[in-house]
Amino acid sequence: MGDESRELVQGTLEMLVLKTLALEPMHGYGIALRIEQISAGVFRVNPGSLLPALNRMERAGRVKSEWRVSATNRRAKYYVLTKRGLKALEEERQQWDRRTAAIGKILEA
Amino acid sequence: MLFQSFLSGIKSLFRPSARNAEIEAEVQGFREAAVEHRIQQGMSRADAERAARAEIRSSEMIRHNVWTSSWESRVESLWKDVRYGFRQLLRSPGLSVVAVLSLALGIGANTAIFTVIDDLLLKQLPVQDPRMLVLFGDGSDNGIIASSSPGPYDIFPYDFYRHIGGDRKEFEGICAFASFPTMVSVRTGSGSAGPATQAKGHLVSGTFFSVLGAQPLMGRALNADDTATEGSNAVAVISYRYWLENLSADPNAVGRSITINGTSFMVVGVMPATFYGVDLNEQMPDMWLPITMQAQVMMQPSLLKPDGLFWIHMMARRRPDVSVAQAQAWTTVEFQRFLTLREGTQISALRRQQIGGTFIPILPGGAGMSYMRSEYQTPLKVLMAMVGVVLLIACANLANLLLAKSASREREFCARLALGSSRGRIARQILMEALALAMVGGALGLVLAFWGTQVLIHFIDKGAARTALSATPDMRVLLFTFGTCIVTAALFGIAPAMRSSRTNVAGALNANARNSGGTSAGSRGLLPKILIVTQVTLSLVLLSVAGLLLRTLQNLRSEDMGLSRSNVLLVNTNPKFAGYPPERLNALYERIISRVDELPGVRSASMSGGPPVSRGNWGSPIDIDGRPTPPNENISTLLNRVSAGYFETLGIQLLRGRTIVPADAADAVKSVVVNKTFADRYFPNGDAIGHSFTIADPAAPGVWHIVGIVRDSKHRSPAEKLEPFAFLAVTQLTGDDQYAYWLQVKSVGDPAKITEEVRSALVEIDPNLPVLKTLTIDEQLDDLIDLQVFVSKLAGFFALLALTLAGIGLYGVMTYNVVRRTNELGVRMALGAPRTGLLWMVLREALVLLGIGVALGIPMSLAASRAIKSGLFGVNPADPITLIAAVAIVSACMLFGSYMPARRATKINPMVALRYE
Repeated sequence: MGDESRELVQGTLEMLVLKTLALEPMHGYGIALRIEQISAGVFRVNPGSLLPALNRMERAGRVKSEWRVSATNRRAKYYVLTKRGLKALEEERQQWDRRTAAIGKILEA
Repeated sequence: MLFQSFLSGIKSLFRPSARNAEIEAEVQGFREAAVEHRIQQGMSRADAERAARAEIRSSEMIRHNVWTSSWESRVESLWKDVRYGFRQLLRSPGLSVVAVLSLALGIGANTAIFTVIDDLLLKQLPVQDPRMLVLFGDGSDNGIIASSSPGPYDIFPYDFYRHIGGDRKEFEGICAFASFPTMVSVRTGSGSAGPATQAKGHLVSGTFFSVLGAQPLMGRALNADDTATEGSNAVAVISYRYWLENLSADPNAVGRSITINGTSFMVVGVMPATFYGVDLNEQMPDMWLPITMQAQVMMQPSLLKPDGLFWIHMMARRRPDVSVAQAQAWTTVEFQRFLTLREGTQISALRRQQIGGTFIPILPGGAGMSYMRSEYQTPLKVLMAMVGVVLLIACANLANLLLAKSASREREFCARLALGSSRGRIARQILMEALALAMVGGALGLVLAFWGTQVLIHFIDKGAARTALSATPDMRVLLFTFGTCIVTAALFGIAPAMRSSRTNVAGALNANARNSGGTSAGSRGLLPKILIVTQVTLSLVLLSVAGLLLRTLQNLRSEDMGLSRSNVLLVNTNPKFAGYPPERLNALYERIISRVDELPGVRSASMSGGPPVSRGNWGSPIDIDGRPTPPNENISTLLNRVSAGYFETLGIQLLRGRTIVPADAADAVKSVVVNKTFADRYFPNGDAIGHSFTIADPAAPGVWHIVGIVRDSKHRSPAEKLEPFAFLAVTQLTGDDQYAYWLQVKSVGDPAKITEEVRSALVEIDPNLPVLKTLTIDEQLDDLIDLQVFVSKLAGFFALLALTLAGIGLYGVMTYNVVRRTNELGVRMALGAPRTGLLWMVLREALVLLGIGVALGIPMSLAASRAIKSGLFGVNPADPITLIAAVAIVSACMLFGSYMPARRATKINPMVALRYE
């Protein structure tokens, strides 16, 4: 599979990260891995865009971060969803649903 | 959340290493997790690590991306630009010093004038919510006025205040105060002992402080009870400065007694340092006294009587729910009712109609009242416009300097563009450099302005010890300066920034294009030329305006005042302070005059009620015997009271009859000398002598007989219109109007040199007789035109500043052009061009620019001169001599600025020039 097709749909990175974090707090690689696994390998998030996005979201107060010891006994920066993040996820999800529904209608017409 | 983002942003700005380490650690963690996960999936460690590396690519890139995703990265890059800008400036220190200095002068001049404008025109009183304060009328009248005619009113009898004062639903409170300050003699020692000092007192109603909302620093302010009954509350509230300087900051000052004009007053409060009352004038009051103590404080008959004269100003605090229009309507109705009641039952239809035409304008009073404000308003605006133009010229200079500099940095810009920098970033870089220059210039300008403002204020308040004007910049001034810096930077930075960002990459990196400026030489030359023309035009305008103002000053100084301009000493005294009752005055005058007459170096001496030249005057309508006064004719005459020898001492020429002589004693027929205007107006047939008139002002009763006619003399301003003037014999007046406060001494030599002799002669006569002020007639005359001196000197200074800046600008641009064309000039010379030809070639360019600048400047100067027409005296706004002189000065300066570089062009050695790469 080529690189192109594994890229995320534009503008969805934040939503996917928020959704992933809604399950449990995770570190950066964990998030990337989880997105890849759940999408059955369709999407692959590279750290070059994931880490800046996390920084942005932290600044916006949607996630907060803390250093924890991981399962493999290493220190890692874990991200936790905040209330504000949960609300943002709901909003982005509704918006997404509206859009895909609309696109679906257009394609079926 | 926003706040949190701000906090963490600030933290990462100041600790970049910690921030980088954290990102680094996170990337590292990511890498390790990735490797471990792949090993778990069965990869070898080496393969896993390679895969992880491929995924992460450059950790540096990630760090950069994380960093630029936050707002503080923009701040940081801006800061980098600023630092780079400063480094650039340090790389060419000479240029930067010139730039910073011219900016400092430009911004400093603007800040200084603005500080004075802020002080005089913009500042609100330092009291509670000054915007709700309103004035009854504009306060332009002051003194004691007897008449009442239709029209707007700003001065009132005390009785009117009593009529509308008290609880009113239209205002939260109304207060009244004397329309003029009173100089009083104060003894601060116990009893009435101790030396007397002069102080400025202001009579105010008890509601004064509560209406203003001003709280005392110590003790209490005056309250309504203090002015409930006439003459019974001898209390005083003193200013902070007075407390500091005259009561030695006595912590027990409240409750202390001070003797004011012989009456003991108790100090009940001290106001804070910022409080200066309601009038912003040269000298702030030292104390505020109950208006009901007027007779004691002014040592004059009561002005509080029901039929009293017009002498108080009024101020009030508005209620938020009452509009200004409603307040004005109510006040006007009350005022008309008051005037009608005053007339009594017999009131003519004409009078009723006149009263119907009166009204009280309710004006914003938050800034207090100030005659200085109205006097200096227009001149300050003219000066502000002038310094604005000076700054524009400085901006044009800097734009040219930066343009020249950015042209020489073209290769740097190209390299940066080629390496992937954006054009926007380069433009921003140049703007930051401009801003750095402007900020340094502005900071230096603030220092210059502080010093300059002190000079200006010293001029305005004539060195008064206690003034409400301050050279210390307040928030508004600092904001103004900061804003000026930004606007200035934008003005001179935008053109170079746009030019640099348009650098052509391919062209400029080419080595041959290094000095020639490439193919765009023509277009590059246009902007500096426009800037030079603008500078020439603007400096011509400033010069001709300054020229006209200086001519005005010259004309005012040489104007024939009708009295001698030199060899007269004026001494201000007050027999009241020494306790003389009116009956003993004539003897005192005789002793003073004969004693001073005997002094060596003195030709003659005389006394008068008011000074011979002053802005204020005593005046009253008169009735000439045997001549019915037509209604509506202005028969108001200016008055002064003088002793024998007055006209001789002041050199006022006698035309007919006689002057006032010692024989005009108290019991003789009342004698008056009139000026020529008086005689010509009322006695066109030339038979004034022998006629008589009566004066409406009850202070000068009886029939006055005209005994002489003197030449017209001017007493308020050299530019004044001549008015009828009558000089009464001071010895024939009675009561309060018999006091003469001014002694004139005609000297043989320099009048200032006999000051001490005159002073000791007065002490000899009576040690209690105070000498309040001594000055020469020259100084007194200069006082009359101090505003014009102020304006024309500053205007001249600013015009010279503008001219210097423009000259430096032209010099810089021409020098730059010659350097840029070194190659070409060398070739020309090698090919045999004569040196004079080269000189002419370079000069021609400057001459064309000068020509265009002058051509544009002449009509603009004429327009500017017309705008200041009202401030001119004895000179036509379109005065050709001034204009020609201005053109000549500008041309000479510009030619000098361009001749030097042009000469340099002819000194070029062709061999050197051709190798000059």
